[in-house]
Amino acid sequence: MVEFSRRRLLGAVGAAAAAATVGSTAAGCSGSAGGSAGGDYDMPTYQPAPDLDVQPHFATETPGMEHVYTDYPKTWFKSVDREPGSGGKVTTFQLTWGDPSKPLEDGNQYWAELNERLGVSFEPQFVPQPVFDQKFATMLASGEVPDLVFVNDQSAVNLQGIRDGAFADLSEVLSGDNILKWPNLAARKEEIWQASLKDGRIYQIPSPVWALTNLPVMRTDLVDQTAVGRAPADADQLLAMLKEVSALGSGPGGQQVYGVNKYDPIMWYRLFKVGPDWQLDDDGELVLSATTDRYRQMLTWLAQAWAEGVFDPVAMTTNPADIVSGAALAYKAVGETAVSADGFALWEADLPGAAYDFFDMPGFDGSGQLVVRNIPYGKSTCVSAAAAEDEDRLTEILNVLDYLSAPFGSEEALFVAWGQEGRHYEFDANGIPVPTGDDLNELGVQYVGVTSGDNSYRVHPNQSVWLDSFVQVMESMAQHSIARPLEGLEGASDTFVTKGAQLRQLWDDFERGVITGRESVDDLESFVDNFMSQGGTMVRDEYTQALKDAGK
Amino acid sequence: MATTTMTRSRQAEGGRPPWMNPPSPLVRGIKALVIALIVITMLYPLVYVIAMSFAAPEQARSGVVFPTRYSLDAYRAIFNGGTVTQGLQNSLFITVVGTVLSLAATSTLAWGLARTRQVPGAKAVLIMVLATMFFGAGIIPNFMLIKYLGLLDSTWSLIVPGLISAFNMIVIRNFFQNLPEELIEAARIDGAGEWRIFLRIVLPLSKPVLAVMGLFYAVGYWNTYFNALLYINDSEKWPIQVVLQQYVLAGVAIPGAVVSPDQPAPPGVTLQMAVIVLATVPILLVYPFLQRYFTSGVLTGAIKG
Amino acid sequence: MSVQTAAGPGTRASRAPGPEPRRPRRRLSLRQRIWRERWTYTFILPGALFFLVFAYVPMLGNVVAFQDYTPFRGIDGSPWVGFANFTAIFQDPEVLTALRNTLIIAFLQLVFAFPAPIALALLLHSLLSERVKRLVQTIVYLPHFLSWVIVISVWQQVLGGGGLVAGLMQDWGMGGFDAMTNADTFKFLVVAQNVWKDCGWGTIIFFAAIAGIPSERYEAAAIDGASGWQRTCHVTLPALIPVTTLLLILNIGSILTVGFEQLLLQQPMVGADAAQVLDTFVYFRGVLGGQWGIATAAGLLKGVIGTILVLSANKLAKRMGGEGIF
Repeated sequence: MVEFSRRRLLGAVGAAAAAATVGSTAAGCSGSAGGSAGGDYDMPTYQPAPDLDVQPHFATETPGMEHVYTDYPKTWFKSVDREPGSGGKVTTFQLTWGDPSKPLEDGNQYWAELNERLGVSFEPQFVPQPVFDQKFATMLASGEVPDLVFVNDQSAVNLQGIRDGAFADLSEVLSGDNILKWPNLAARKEEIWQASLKDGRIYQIPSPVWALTNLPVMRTDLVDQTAVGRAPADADQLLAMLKEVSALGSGPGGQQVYGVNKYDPIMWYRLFKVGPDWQLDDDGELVLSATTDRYRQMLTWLAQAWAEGVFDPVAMTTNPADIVSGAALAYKAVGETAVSADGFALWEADLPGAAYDFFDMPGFDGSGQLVVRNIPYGKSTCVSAAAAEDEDRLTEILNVLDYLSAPFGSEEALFVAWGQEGRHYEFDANGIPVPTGDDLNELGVQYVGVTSGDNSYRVHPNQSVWLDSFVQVMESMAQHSIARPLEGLEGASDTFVTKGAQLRQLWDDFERGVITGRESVDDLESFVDNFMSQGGTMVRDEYTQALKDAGK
Repeated sequence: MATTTMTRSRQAEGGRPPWMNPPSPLVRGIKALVIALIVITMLYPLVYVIAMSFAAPEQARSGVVFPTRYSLDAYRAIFNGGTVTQGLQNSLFITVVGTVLSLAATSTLAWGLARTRQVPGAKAVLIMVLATMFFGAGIIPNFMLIKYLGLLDSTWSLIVPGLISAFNMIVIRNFFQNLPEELIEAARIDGAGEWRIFLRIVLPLSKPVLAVMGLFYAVGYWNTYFNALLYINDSEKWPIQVVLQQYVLAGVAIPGAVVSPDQPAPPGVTLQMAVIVLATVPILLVYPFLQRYFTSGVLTGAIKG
Repeated sequence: MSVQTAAGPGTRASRAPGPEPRRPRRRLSLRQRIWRERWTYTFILPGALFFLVFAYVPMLGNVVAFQDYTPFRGIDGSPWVGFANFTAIFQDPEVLTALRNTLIIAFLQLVFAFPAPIALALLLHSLLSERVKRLVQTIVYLPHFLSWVIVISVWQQVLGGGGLVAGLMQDWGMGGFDAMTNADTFKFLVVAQNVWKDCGWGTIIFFAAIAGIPSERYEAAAIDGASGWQRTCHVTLPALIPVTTLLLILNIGSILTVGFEQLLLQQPMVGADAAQVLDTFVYFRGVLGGQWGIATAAGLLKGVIGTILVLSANKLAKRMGGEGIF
């Protein structure tokens, strides 16, 4: 916090008086006076979750890649050995999807058992996704911060809450071996803590996430009809292949087909090895990726592809329902493909004649692609600063969080995620829990903001045909992956927090404009100038300072 | 008012008013063509939405322009949740009670402000009301007010803050000002009080505009969504729009962050369409009932006759 | 725009609107006038109180336009920054594009979308069969209830690059067609979408006005030998003038507010140069960045401009012989 304000006061060139005052009040609110913020602390000790009783199908040490399992655990271990709570109240502010939860008083058995297991009265405030940020703001404004709050630190409003002191500084409570009081909280690697630090302090209890969440998939039934086939070696061959697919006109079921039917920038960034938005050049200076040659080459290539009919004309839409065509290449989430019971198996059944596979993207020049790893991101939980003032109460709140954070493979996680066997789920023949019954809306109360421990890919048996292909493509992506230089420092630029959305929009707009032919790639320089003058320069300077402060 | 009904029956007998003669065939043909065109373009999307809501899941997932195979899956999924009925009840209450109260409050104020020239201070109030159309307050001050008034988590928080819409008030006032003056003057000379005039003469004469405003309010209350999300935490009190949106949003991540890879994939377009059908059809049914207030010629029979 | 000359027999006098009690012989003092209208205040007070509490009290929160506000610090804890938020808006190079687009779209709306419901109402009114009239009325108001996402999706299916029209044109050997991504014609597209969506809904209010026309006027006009078209011009249209004037004035006041969702959804297709309007600008600049002060300042600016426009329009309407709002 103080770090933030000092930098702000010293380094905000040309910033309005407004910006300077932000810093000073923020420091006042944080309650930490003087030069060094809070007390000293060590990073929380990492204590891995107990091993599962099944072996991974594919084990790896490649950064970014996770073990791949095909079997589910046969026995579920006990992760928490602690007296239940004192019966007090623990309130939460939690993100909610799907059916509203059945109220406790209407006989919600899941909720009742949860209370019993936690030893507290669990009182969530359900916050539907569409208004999460708005409700977050009203919650902060009312000054009544629930004990446990789901925080998405990619959102400016949420970040403001952390900066203004709404949430407790947990650095000392969780410092070093202190965290071992809460073994499930301790089942997080240091990199995850590191990535979610704010001004060098721990405010958030982060959840581990996959570093690689998305991968390209292809329609082999279409691609096999082209001369290039399934393994284009570089951008030229890929373009030829995509053009050929568009030229097919229609595919199985009479569906219109294109090379690509939705514009997903990341896929092309990987192909052209563009790298992260802010990257270090050869001289170690921080530069915008749009200033690189590769970015220009990418735009030129995409504009040509667009002009030659590779893309469905609706490819720029934001509404997935607009897209009714088939496509040779698509960018999909791991969650909806390999680990899902549906995935390719269902898609192929949906459209007879269609065939899918994962696609190992080449680099544009025939070398490997360049993938940017996805750590950190927003999913975390904060504890109310007011509630944390009472040490016993803080312990009880962390106990609850510890329980909810039980790692995969534990009996607690099984209950939290799936409910009661027989009532909410059954094990299928493969030992995988499958939701069942009429009482699934009882699960609406579950807290989904926190997970820990093993973070592997668990490929569903329905996808076993594509298992090897999945492993190969993911491992290849991981081997060609890099971490962002600004990992964990994104929030350090105040300009990025407040103007990031506007700058992003400016950039997207130009990028899409060039691709669709509305703008010319020759205007790239003037776009970059515009981008930098509208805040890009300040973002760069603030990040450069942050990198220096972090000793990177 | 006996004379009013007389007037109405006079035109109802022949199917059309006696002064109207059928126009030339050419004009009729052009009109029919234009109207047919309008009807088709306006009807198509609704047909599309309904058809998609019944689309077979495999067709919806693999992408079709118009479904050819149908299923009830989307509706089944929604009704299995069990909270839809509760949501419908809540919305019905908000809509009916809200519309009645809003009409009462709006027309009262509109009548009070109808004579800005005679009533000292009325013009100031009118301008004060008008300004609210252009100056709003952010969500936080509104939320704090609701909280301060103790209305959080109360259905009334969805009715009271929107009781009078400045726009509707000004429109009603405009209609009031254009009422035939002779009637009101006469009543006043007879010694009728302001409230009596309002209830016995003004309101009955204003049925068409009250019907329109009732519809505006009813649609507004029925579509209550954002305020409900902000002010109501207890999901049992959620109106239907909120409940239904929850189904559409199942599995949708916070913008900018993939929240949980374990979450189910967003449901198909069918669910979205089924939600639209369920959320709009009830309120669509209101309008045909209001149309009977739009029959012209109801007024002057009472004055001249 | 003089009502009594335009309308036929039976027109009400256009002097002071509404009820007017015994005309006083001499000027009454303010106190006497208030006392005379004491019952009228029972109509006004509850409503005035309502607006005071539910509109004006929260409006006090707009002081954050002069602050660097964040929710947890609150108004008490956030620093005052003078007009910095306003200068930030004016200094943004994008604001001019947004303002230009807003004004062009608003102008096109006034020219095309505003009169459309009147035309449709007159057309429907001229229908002879009451049943057809009601049926068509019910159908044309349907699109109002569809969300913008659906509306744009449907338009995409018809006018998009892979849509119905494009398909037909290809079949006939003409080149491709894509109205949805054409930045040059985008503003007309926006207005067309608006007409399509809300034209039928807009007719409802005019039907209420038509319903208030005394049937004697039509009879008298018919006796005078007026044709159907003449009756529309000399009876129906003049009767719609008060409500039309009113709606026009109110519309002019909200000229800076053009379909936020509609434009936000289509911006990726046509680009910000064509689709950025003030509201989307504030969304990207103020809302997503958590810059409460800037978002509020923009709201205040819009309010001031809207009020000035309404007052001017009102004055103009009066000068032209109409009634205005007050």
